[in-house]
Amino acid sequence: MTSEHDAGGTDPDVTGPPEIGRPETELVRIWRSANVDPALEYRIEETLVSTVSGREALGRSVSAERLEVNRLIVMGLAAAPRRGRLERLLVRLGVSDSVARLATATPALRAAWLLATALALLFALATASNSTASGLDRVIVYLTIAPLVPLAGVALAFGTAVDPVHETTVATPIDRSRLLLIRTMTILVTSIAILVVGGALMGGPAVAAVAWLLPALAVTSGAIALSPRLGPQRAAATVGAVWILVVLLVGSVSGHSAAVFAPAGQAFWLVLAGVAAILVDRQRRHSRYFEA
Amino acid sequence: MAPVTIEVGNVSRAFGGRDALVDVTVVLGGGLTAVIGPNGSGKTTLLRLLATTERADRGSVRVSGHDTSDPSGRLAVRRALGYLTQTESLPLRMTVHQYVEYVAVLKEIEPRAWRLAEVARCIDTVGLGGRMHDRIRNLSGGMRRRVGLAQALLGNPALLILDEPDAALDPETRRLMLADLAERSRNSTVVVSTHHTGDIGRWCDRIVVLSGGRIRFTGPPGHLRDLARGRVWRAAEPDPEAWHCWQDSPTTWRCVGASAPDGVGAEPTLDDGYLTALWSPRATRP
Repeated sequence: MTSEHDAGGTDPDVTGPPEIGRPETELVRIWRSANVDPALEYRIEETLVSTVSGREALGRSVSAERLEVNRLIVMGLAAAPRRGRLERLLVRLGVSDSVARLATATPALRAAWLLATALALLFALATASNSTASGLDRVIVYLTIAPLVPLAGVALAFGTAVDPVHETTVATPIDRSRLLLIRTMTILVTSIAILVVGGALMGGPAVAAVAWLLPALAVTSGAIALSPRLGPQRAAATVGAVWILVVLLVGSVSGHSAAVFAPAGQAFWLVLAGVAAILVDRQRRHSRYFEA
Repeated sequence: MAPVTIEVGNVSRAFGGRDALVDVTVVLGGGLTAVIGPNGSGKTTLLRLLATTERADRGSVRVSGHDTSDPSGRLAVRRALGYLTQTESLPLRMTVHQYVEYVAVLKEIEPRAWRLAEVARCIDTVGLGGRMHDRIRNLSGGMRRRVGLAQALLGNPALLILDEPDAALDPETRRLMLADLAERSRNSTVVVSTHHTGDIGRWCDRIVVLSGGRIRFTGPPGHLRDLARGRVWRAAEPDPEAWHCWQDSPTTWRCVGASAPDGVGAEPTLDDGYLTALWSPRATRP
């Protein structure tokens, strides 16, 4: 006897047994087909080995090793906890399950993500509530500091100081540039959303809410591009310092730092971000395993 | 699967002007190798070099022919490696399953169904099957060590490097772990560091004694024990002629020295051999 739910035997979900009542030869046919889900495969095996004729039919087609592999897979699936909401959402959006796991379960990311989010929130609120500075100055300060928030997240996303399992990670074959990119993207997505809201709250021109995005993209890509040589922390510190210097220098030469965020400036940051992205891609192609 | 061969050639490594390893040369084949030595003798540095998480200042480390100074060589080693660090903390907020699966993702064990099977198998192997959904912060020190061991075992690695895997383990768990490692070492190369010399000889094929960053002995446990033959004796009080004496009962002292006085010699143990290797100027070099 089987419930209505259980009757869906071809469903790869592991919660129910295979269809009951099919002839054993049909079960063997399904089992032998190339695309059977391992969990279903094991359920079929379980059903088959429960009868004498089933055991004989199964014994002609399957090795003991394969039975054991399928048993382990079913045990593993049964023992696995349910994925978290964010992880499920990422998988539904087409992100591979391993990337979704790295993005949502990385131990180091919790501290980096929380800090970047807290920094972004604090900074947005502080700027929005600062009534002493003139309107344009407030906007410029905001635009100058905003790109540093995701940059700080990058610095915190990888390294011995922040990752409790850094050495274990280094000893695995994972592509560390990919790992850094995944962690950076996770932090970027969150902090960008908060900073855009912060920029809108500031009450300046509408463009101010987003004018820092391309500089942020440029400095963050620059830090990632330098990470193989300097490590994420030094790379972020170097790029952050250069960014501040550029803003101050432009301000002293042109009379106001707003030029950094003007259309010409934005074009420059876009090109710089593109160059950094190409560099990162080339580094990944030529030396997959940079030493960060 | 052919056992992994490790060739360490004239390796030196210093940290802030202090020598951690000095001109170390050793060849380790398949089987279980125990690296022993006092605190600060260079054990962890040696194991980190083998695990590719540290680089040598001088010399070379080759694992089955792969040069670990080369990125592709490191990658080849890391694909075959299971590594347990000595001091690294665990992410306490994660559950045992979450953490071991996280490392399985880093080890690129795919697809997910197989990864989960590996995770469950390895957690079961270290005896934590009933605690796999507990947060790591709720586990005892010994259990946390076993969690570290579980991640190292993922993928049945051909090379297992375990830095003090028996730290914080109770004697029974330690014995079971050593028996399991000895069994695994029949088809793989296992290198462990430990401070417990007492019974390690029963399980391992080879012992490396390190002191002051230099290798003082390398060879089978029996040879290490034999190193102390004729150099161990018992006395009623510490013997000034001995290299080292320690009280082994309320009334007697056990001494190791250049040679035992007539008539008081004792059968050497592995501990005696170890102390002889540390103190004797004639300890064997590879």
